Amino acid sequence: MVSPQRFSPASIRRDRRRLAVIAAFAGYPLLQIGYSSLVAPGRLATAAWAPFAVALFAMTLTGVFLVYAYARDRMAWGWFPFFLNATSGRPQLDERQRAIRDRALVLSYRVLSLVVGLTIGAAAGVASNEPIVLDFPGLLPFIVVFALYVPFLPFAVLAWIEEDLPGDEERPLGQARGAW
Amino acid sequence: MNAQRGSVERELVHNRIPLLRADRGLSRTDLAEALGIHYQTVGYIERGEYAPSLHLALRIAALFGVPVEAVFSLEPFGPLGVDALMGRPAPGS
Repeated sequence: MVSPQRFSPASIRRDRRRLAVIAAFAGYPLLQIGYSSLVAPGRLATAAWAPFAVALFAMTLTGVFLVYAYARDRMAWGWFPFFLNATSGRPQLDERQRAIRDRALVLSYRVLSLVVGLTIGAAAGVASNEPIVLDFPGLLPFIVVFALYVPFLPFAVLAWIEEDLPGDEERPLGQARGAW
Repeated sequence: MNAQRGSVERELVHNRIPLLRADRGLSRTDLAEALGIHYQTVGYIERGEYAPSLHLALRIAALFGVPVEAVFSLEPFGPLGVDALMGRPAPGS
């Protein structure tokens, strides 16, 4: 009798982790671009766009959940109460895990700095030609991006950079065998 | 980041942990628990994908009861000689 295999987020292979990161970061922006370029100008009916919108949003959510499931035990930020609660009772990170977490945080800061810099530069470029109107519908995508992607960024970077796990000799009992 | 990754690749540390584990009858999980690290970290060290800190390297050597240079080396380890396989002291030692 073959025992059922349990899904273990820690065994997600790097190529699939990277696909999840791409899906998480691509889904919502594509949703916004599609809406503003097809639905808002009236080129496509809302009813026709709805399945694509649901699929793109589901793509983002699936990517976020997969990446978070992979990296949640690894991003223990003791200074942040939410993560302190989330990681209580879990084993401490060892030196390799701390090293890769620190690399992920540093790389996240660099990526965030680049994105903020490019956004400010683009806004300055647009503002030099025409006034920028900051109403709520216009700001909503940026609010969502800030609320969703900025806290998610270190998790995504960790999932992106970490090498595949070593050969599957002796997993602890109860964990699935074979990389997903 | 590329420079950092490059330096990590250059700093490959060879080790005999799989051999010592097999000799002592330890699994990766056993070794990891004895050292207080994650069992996957043992795998990364064994594959040469993570160079342990000096502190951890010394603890690994102490756990096996051998000098640290018997476990880790900057050069690849050669095959074990007959004396080592037979448990005899090496000539001149």
